[in-house]
Amino acid sequence: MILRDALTTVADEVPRYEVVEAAIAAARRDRRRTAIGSILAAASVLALLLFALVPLAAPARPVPAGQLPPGVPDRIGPAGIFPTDVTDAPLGPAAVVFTEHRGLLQGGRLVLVGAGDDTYRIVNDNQGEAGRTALLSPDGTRIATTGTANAITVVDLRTGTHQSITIPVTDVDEAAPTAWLPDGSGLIVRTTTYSHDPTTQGPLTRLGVLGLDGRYQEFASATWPLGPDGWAVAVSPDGQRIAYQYSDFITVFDRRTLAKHSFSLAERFYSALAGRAAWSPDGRSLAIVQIVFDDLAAKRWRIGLLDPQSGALQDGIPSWSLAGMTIIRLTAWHDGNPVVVGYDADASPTGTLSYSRTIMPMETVRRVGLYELLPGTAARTLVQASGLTSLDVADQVAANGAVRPGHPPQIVTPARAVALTAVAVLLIGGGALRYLRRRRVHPPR
Amino acid sequence: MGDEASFREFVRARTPALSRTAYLLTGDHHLAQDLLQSALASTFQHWRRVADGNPEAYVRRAMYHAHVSWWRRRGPVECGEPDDQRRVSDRPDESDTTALRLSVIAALRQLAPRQRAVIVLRYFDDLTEVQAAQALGCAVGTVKRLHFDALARLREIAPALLADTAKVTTP
Repeated sequence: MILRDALTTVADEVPRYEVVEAAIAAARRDRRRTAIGSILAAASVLALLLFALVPLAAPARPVPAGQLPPGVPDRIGPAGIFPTDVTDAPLGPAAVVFTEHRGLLQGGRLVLVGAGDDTYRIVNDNQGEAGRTALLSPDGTRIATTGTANAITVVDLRTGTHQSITIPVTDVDEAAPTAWLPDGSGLIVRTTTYSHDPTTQGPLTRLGVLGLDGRYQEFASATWPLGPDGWAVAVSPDGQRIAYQYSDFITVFDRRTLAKHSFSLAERFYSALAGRAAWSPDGRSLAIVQIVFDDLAAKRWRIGLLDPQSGALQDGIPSWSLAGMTIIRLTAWHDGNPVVVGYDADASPTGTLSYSRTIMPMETVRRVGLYELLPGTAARTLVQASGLTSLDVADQVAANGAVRPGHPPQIVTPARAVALTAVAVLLIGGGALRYLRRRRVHPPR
Repeated sequence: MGDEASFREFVRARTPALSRTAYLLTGDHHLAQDLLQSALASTFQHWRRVADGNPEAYVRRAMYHAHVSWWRRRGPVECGEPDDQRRVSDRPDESDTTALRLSVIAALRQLAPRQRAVIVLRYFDDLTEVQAAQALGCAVGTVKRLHFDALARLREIAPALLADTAKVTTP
């Protein structure tokens, strides 16, 4: 039975819900609340005026920009109520980019944190999941995000200028950056064209190298499902080899010789290319993320190393693991150890890495962290934050391995707390006085 | 006809269809009633403006948005169906339909809210991708991706629902 018939059959059994009286009552209740809300809103204007009189944000850090070595802040948080756009006030090199969840259907907001200090900036009008479809360049001076249809947007964080680079492919429904070239001269980009009948035909997904000068070299095209954004494509440290995953197959493409070879991951239980940093720093291994049946309960993901020629697991090399995560993504290396982003979501690990690239909707992510995995089962927590759906770190900052104290913007500073308390006292006091005056005019019978 | 009377008339005429959509979105009768009530309350508040346009589209859009919002706040809801399970054995002539309903609802519950909304919009409400994008307030490309992702997920967890469809083709 096809889906349409099944839905209709199920729907035919649904009784008529008699909710009109309750709905009208609820609407009237809401109207009364709206009226009260209007009064409170007027009071809020007063509160905001008071807000303007006290420091708008806590002094994030006493150290002037650029005096600290680039490092990952150990604490990050939402960008606050009036964040500054990087176009209006350029940031300089960024250490971290994260996607802040804004609720409902608004998607996420891209937030950047400076490399040397805790300056926060947002990237307006550019949606994307940090580390998946919004990528910091290796030196942290640019960010590439999804553009419109077949274009990629690159924002220079030193000047705030936006550059839209068109991918010369027609009939594109979606385009996204998937990895930077190590020298920052271009990107690997994905374009997707959905078929008119998605029930019978998968989307056509193309991969190509897009230079910042607009030159484009396509190297893969298939209706097989491409692996998840953020995991499926990795560029070797010398920039010459690109590994990518369609379905259960990993292919290595050599940009110099244009040669390709593939191997299968099919026999391995829930495994996939590990992320954009899947190539080891020496370029001799390819990392995969995998979870075995016995580790499902603990949600323990492992990083394993494969021979990039044969796909065979390399013996004698330590494997790393992290427990309690719905999925991990390899984003950098430090001192030979993988640095991963861990996602904790309302989803099962068993469904996460299906090659249909869909399975963990980002709206289900509850907590994100950045961890350096040590050989065995140990891990060093670099950053951990809730309220975010994704985060990523610039390669050169991650390679540095430094962690510095982070001071995210504070919405309620001590001064603001005092101001708010004063407003609350005024409001309550004013309301009480008015009530007492009314009682005097109209005494209860 | 007064505002309230015309609203009541609209609700009386469209409640069956809206009830069905609410149930498909939530997979639970109690939640579906709450969802429909919430959407209708919102519609009633703006009835003067909405009545001249397409009030049903407004209600549906309110339901889709509220559904995603609730899901985000409360997380996935697991609802048992003990009464239905009993019915399967007590009344075998209805067991096929009941089993189908249980499997469809179980499958829909495993989709993310926006994926579920797209499936309902495309396969139950028969909207085009452009109309579905308008209902959800997102880009057409996003609807296409959600649609494909939802079908891929359904193909894994409930292949019988897509038995007439082929797998993705190889290049």
